[in-house]
Amino acid sequence: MIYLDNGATTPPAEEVVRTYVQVSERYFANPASIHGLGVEANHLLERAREQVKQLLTVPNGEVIFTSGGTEANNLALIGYARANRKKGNTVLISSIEHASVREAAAVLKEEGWRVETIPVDEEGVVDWHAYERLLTDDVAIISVMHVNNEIGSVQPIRKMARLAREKTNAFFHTDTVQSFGKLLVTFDELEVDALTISGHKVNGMKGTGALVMRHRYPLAAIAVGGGQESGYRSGTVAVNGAVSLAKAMRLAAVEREREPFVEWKRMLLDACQSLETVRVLAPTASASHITALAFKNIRGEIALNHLQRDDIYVSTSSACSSSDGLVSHVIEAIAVPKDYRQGVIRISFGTVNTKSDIERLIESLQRLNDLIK
Amino acid sequence: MKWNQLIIRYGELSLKGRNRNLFVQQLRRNVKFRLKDLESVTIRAERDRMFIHSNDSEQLEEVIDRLQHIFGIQSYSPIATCEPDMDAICQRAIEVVRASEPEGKTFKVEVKRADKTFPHRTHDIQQIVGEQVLRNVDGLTVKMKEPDLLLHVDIRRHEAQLSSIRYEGAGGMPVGASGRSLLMLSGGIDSPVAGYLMMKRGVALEAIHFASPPYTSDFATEKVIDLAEQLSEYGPTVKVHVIPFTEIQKTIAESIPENLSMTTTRRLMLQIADRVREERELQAIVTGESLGQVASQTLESMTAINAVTSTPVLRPLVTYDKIEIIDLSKKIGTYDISIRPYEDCCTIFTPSNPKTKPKLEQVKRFERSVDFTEMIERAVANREIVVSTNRNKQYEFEDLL
Repeated sequence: MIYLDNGATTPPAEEVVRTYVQVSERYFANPASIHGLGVEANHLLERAREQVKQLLTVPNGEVIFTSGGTEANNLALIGYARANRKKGNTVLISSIEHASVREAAAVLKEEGWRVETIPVDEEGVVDWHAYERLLTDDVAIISVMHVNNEIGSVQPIRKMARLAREKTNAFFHTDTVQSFGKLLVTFDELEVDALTISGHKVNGMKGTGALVMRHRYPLAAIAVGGGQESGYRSGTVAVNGAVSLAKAMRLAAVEREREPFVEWKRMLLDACQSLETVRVLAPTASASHITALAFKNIRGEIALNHLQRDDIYVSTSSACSSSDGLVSHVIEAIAVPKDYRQGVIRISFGTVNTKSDIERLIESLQRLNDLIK
Repeated sequence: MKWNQLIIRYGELSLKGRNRNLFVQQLRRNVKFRLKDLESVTIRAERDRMFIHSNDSEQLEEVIDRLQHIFGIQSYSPIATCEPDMDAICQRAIEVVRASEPEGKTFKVEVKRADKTFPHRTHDIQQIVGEQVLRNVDGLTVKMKEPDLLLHVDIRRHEAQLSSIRYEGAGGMPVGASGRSLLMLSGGIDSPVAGYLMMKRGVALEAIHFASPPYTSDFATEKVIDLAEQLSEYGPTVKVHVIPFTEIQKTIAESIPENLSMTTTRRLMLQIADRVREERELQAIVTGESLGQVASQTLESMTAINAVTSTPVLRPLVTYDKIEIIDLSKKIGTYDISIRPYEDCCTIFTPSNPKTKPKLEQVKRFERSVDFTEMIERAVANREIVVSTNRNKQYEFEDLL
């Protein structure tokens, strides 16, 4: 099996599973209990929290453990908006955000906020002039993803955060679900106010994630109840999940892009040059671990099926949100020629892959090209 | 260029004429204690400055980090040294500026010529060094007022010292230079802040805590030990005297009217504290009381409580607002420990309507009905003395994380 759908999810690392199981068995107590077992579980939880802060270079930051990236993104936008109504009335997002950000913005629109969208260029990078123009005094929240999940384009987050800080008083959030563990993701590097982490994208457990903030900003909780996680998220804290997340993050964190990924990406792009039915999307702006290919005049599903018969697993571009129900908002946003739009697949590398996986992928893509040309 | 030396400038203690030597020795001891695990570091104290030397740049970084919490230091800087010779000074100056990320910065040279036999005058040295640096380092512009980069050149008889970075110290006086006192540490937000402020004025501390098991849990005591450990960041390790208080507290509940029990409890705590203070040869008692926060903190209450001793009871927070105390506790790292949810002995036996203006005579009359002397003896004798740094932390999580 050649698993090249690591952008969708990754298999959990053995050490992470071990941690998850051990914590589930040994530190099962409720960390809010004041007896010895609870205190011990709470100690462990706080150590995990410290480790997350350390990895992200925010010693005085706030870590809110969540059920994953979606909840963290929801909490960042909806939570911040509801608690900071007076800061402005505009929410600024890019046109290629993940659904959990887009839908959160839609909820806010219902609640009377103005939602502005920053367009992107043909490689999926925000249009800088448009961004500058949209940065008005009225902007209270900005949320722009670091690496796009469908085409891998990388946004200049630090530069954006700096300009936002200069021109507005806005809260700058970035979704780093697809970038943590692949690029350098820290508060020192990105200079944002908050970021979202997902466990299962970095060989952690499903159902784990966190919203991490530079300071203890006011947020209106979405899950209300016992006031856990400093009141930001009620519900008995899943110590096993939190500790396994801290562990997965420690194992995954990188200083720069992984050398093998860079090499494999180069191999893949070189090979695609001789495939006349294939266009590479965002060839220069994308991170090494995500490559989106568009096939001419076929549906992405067909390419997926072909590869699957060679025991290679990739995905087609995500959600059907556009008018014809077949093209994603990201593909629409980057102006892919009409005859290629429906034929997009995503190949995403992970720590489980080897060079020979990529060689076999290339061979299979060549066969597919011969078949459909 | 590699730094291998730090200069420490003393704070207020520069002002203290005759006692100066004592202060400097105390500061030296405190610095030495704080750096004792860094084996490459050597310390040299002079009358008006202290020098720290190490060839291990990582350890020197660590020193820079630790010095910020030591009271009695006004500021400190990494310095480079050279022969007190114009050419050597210019050469060093260029290296120092280059090492300070000069691109696009404004810059100024400041010269102190302690050695008056040095052939150039202060003003000339400034000119020459400034010119040489500008000629050899790109991207700098001169600015006299508030420059980004202030190159300080100190010319002494045997060497010249150059620095371009200045770290602010914690100020105050070296802990221990103003004697030793006993801090009443409850586990709340206020008392550790009171302790911190006393340490800042040079007072070394031991702490006393009253435990009433099973009404209070071991975690309440552990929390107090953690607070003492946090306070020890700012000076010598703070020992904690843990007093078994259950017997006394129950006796009070049985024999003193409820609305006066709080006053009597405090009076007994103060008597016990005073006994421990005497035994430990400490000079004063420190509390976190602030005026008007709770029933025990009215002037009338303080009078009734204070009447048990003539030892000075210092209340550094007496004029502080709660919000100021909370801010300070966050700054010194005790807040998150203080807000852990364990009951201490004050909160458990708290009466519903304590007298805010207890009459001393009335309190004494009720106390006469019970003989507390032996109980006080027992409490003092059976106390446990805990040193936070000697604890074995029982939690081993490394393999899980």
